[in-house]
Amino acid sequence: MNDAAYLRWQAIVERETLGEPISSDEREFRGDFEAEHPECAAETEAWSALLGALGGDMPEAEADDDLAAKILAAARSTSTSAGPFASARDAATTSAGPFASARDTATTSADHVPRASISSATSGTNATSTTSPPLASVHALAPRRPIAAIVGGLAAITAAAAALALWWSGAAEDEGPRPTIADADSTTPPAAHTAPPVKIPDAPTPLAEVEPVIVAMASPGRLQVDGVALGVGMSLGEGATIQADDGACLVFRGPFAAVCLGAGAEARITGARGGVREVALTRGRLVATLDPVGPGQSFTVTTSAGGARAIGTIFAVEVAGPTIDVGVVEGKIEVRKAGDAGAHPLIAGERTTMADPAVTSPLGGDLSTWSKGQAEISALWKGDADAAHLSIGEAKGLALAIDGVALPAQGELELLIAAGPHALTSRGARGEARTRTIVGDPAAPTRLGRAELGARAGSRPSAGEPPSVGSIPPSTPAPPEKPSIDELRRAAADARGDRRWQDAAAAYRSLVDAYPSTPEADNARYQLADLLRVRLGRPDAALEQFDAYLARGGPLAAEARVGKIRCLQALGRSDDEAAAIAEYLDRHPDHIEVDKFRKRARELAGR
Amino acid sequence: MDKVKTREPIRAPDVEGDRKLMELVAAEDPRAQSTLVHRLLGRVQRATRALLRERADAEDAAQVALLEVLRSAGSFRGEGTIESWSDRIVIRTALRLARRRVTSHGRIDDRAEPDRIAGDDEADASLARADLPRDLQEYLRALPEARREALVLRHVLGYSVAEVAELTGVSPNTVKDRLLAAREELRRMIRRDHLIHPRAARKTA
Repeated sequence: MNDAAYLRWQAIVERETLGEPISSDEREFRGDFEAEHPECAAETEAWSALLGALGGDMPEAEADDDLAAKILAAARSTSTSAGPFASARDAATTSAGPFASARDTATTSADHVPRASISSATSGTNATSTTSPPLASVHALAPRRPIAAIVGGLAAITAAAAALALWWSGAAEDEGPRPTIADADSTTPPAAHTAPPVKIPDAPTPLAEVEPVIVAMASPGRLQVDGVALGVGMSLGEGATIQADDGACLVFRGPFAAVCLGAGAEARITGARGGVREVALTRGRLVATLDPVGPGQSFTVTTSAGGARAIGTIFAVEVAGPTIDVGVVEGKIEVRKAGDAGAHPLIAGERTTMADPAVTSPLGGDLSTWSKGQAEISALWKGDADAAHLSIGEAKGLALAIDGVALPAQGELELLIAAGPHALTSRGARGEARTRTIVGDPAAPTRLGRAELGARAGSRPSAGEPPSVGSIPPSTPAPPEKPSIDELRRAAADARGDRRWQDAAAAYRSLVDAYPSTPEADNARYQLADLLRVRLGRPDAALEQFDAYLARGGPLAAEARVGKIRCLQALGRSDDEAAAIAEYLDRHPDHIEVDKFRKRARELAGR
Repeated sequence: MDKVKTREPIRAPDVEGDRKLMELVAAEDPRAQSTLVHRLLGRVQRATRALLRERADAEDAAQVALLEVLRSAGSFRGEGTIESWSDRIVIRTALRLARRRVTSHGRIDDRAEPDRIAGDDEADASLARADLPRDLQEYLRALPEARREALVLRHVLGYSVAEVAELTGVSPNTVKDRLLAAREELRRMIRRDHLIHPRAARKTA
């Protein structure tokens, strides 16, 4: 395999994509090439499957007599003074068929009712349900949704409910002229037999940016929100005051942010809309773990003595009486003392106090250890897999870890995990460990009692354990021979599936080292870079891999440039970041994130 | 690529017969109308179902398109078959309705269901029936309408690039760009999301 072969394969594929014929020699070459390159084979298979699906719901050749009769009846019924085919024009105009039916009514209603109420219609309900969309959406949200989708869906519900309320409240008062479908789309007046056009109310105030905050981890009954105990998976919104008797974590989405509160902490969510998040910490400590935020977005923790504002980082704030400490584990933040106009930068490994943010010292001690532990836990909620509820009984004397992430020792614990298998390790006081697989099920909580958690010497389970609680397969053993591309890719994918990020990175490195000039190696470079940046928190190492990927080029060049920008941002290299953004905008002017990075470029230029 | 479907064979032309038939249709002769509708309906449904994501929308489009064909019968000049003449009316009607539906659904989804693209449960079911892996279903849902149209017209309905360009009102190069962009996006998705891993395949099956 070499670059020339890959280019030949690509050229053949492009011609096929355009529907041009290929020779038998080319077909044979393509087959041989794909036999050695599973990614290329997968692409061809996927393409065929897509085309099959696009044409897969075709009717039989014979016509539908009922439908034909309807069409003929419509043609005849409209052959009157309005002209024989007025209904066809009207139907085309209103985008509904000319034959009124329950389904047509629902569709037409759904097209024309206020935006906020349409969610129920798109969920497959009938016209009558358009009056109660939030409830319809609530039911649609129930358990089988990704964590991201739960949050997004809740945002939609909030927005829909608020917008609907606004519409209802405004509809009675505002009877002024409004556009109709006919007005908007056609100069042809509706025929007499068609339904009157439905008025479109003015767009409600867009409240869709209000973000719910999801409880991702807490001890049962130990997290109070405005005086009410809240459990895992429930949401709270702007203005909520939180009291965490034990440690608890909350998750924002878009961009991801997790806030873990220490035992005894009290905080209030003072901002949660449009990516602008603000948490006021009044007691105790918290650690915020954030993905880089976009232009116009921010994450701020305020206290009585000042605030700390972050742009993609891990940082902690602790209020202990009059002393308020701030520490940065990763990235960079700005600390602003109350009453001061200027902000003081604080970078990874540093700590300061709100009383005198200009003075910094190395971050260490308990705050550092605790922050790093909480940040690791937060990584459990970064993915977009289905969310499952895990309930862990009191495990006195046992240290528990999921996928290598240590859980807090605080009695009973509930948390969200990604659906699917996870490695649960329990370690006793004498160091004996037991590792088992637990399976997160989005449909029902997974409950683990003392019996399931009990530690025994050795990490291998005994034979005959129940199927849902089995052994963790050992790490990929060193093969006696050089593994194939496919084997390495599978190893990486297995590790990713099990959230063993280091193992996945190692597999990708092996692939790059063993097969450096293959398209799979190019792809592995990108995956490795992505892992290093997102999962392993190593923007410096990720940057090297993104550069290596870009040096060879590939179909993910735009994504790689975005990754590079984010790395530079995380590293605080603003000048390099600006240059990388300029290159990205120049080379990928149609990419999905250009608007975001144009804004970011303006921000950087204004500094 | 082996599964690419081609347009159904066009019957041997009967130019004079077709012209006579269309004259009668234009004169609103019921039997001629019935003959024409029955002759074209299967073909029209095939096209509208390929172009519109929801079956009910496709039925609507078939009705609207055939009524338009009946209405326009007087413009038939006999310079080709009725099928090829009507195809243009049908495709343009279906495309117009498809774009309108997408616009409508897009507006809905922006507001109410950010994690859904088309918001069409029926289309979802159709994709599931097609036994398409979940990742590919998501790709198809997210596929921009212009690229989807180009794919359907070229690879499902069998139009040439030039014909697709004419039907969609863009240049042939734009059609090629759309086809290649659809393929490129698929390649990016596969390489980005590990689509070929057997576990992923099982998960999505």
